Amino acid sequence: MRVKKLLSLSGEECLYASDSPIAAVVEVNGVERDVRLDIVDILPKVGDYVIVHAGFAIRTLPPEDALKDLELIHQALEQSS
Amino acid sequence: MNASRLFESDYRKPELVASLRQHITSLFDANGNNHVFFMEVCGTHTVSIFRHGIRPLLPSSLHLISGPGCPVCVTSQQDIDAFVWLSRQKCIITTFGDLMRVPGTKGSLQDARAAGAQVLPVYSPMDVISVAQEHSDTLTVFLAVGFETTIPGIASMLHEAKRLKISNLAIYPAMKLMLPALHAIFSDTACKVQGLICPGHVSAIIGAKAYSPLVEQYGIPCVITGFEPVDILRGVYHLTEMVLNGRSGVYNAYERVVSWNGNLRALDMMQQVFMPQNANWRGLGSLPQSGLGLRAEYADFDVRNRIVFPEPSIMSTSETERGCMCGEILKGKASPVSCPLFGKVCTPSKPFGPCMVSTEGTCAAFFRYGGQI
Repeated sequence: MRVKKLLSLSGEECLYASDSPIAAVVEVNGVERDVRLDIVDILPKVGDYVIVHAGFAIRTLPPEDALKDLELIHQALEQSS
Repeated sequence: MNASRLFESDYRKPELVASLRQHITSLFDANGNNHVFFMEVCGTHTVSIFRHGIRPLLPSSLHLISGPGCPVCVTSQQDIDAFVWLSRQKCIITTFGDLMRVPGTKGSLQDARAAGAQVLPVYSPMDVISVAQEHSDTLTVFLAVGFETTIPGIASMLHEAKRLKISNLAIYPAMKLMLPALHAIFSDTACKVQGLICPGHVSAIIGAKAYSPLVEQYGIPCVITGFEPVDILRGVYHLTEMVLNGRSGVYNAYERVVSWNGNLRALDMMQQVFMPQNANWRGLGSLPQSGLGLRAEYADFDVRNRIVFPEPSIMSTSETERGCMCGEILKGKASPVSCPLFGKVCTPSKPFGPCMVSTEGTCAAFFRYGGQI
């Protein structure tokens, strides 16, 4: 799910990291929903992806890391061929 | 309760699936196609393997066995019966939806709701706070089941309830820890599993390093992987390579999500609220330090400190008396098709055991996709 907006405790949009966001509006397949950020490993930025479980983000994934495993698979297959 | 998936199409590329399949087949061909047994210990993996048709792609001598990774399935009959009993008291029950259809000795939560009990399915533990706030004169109880992926969210909800001084909220703690169950499986000398496909999102919380003791004590190779076809086949490939070459260790094939140390914020939240205690598992019995209880400062949130429950022997019959083989299936010692109830008196529309109820249950996956071991 891609982070579209970060929210403060009062539900206001957080414009700065120092605003300590506690939730995020995320989007997947055109559907938006709120997720909590209490237990996410690293606070996401707008545009990052998050893994969500039962309403909580549990892992932040910057877009540049999302295809990391594919690169490693290609490397492993090349080495074994 | 599945976590979201990212970049599905990239991790479903047919040419990559074909290449990984070829590499796995070559490894088996070079080793005389001896029988090899792997266990996938996550219910989401079990369902993904069936949904994507992975089993028919693998050599016939490679056997995938499903383990105790469905949180609803491993919840003991005594706890299910306690949930149903509790729903008939003066309180509101909040629960993940899967739990509602699990048959207890005296009906399910769904039956209790049909008879007038207040049983509300929730998507997130955080939803329980708003239910409690909307019904401030009634005790709201959350039936807390789940593994390490779910537990930090439950801890976070209790942390928030304490901050907000919500006094009409409690949980029934029936959470489980994955590692003690794996120790129970691998310490059994009759265990034939040679390699472990570790749960992807539990590992995101506990970290890859959590499996090192399994490697050290039992020499079992462990591979952490994701849920897309390419992820699963990559995991199987590396596990096959390790097993057939006699190597053991922890291999992380899900680096985009799982780190060596895990999610330290989530682990810290868990430790602030909960502490390990013994727990009863369906199939595995009582395992030391395999569940979680509330720390003293959160003890008021334990419903068992507010309501006196009847003795389990009054509420429950044993699993074997019911003729259900879910216990053996959860240990990986029986296949769903070997259960005399499977597909006859036990079906997804009328389940007899929890493995047929949950969307992550092995029996439900076998029934839906017609799988064979």
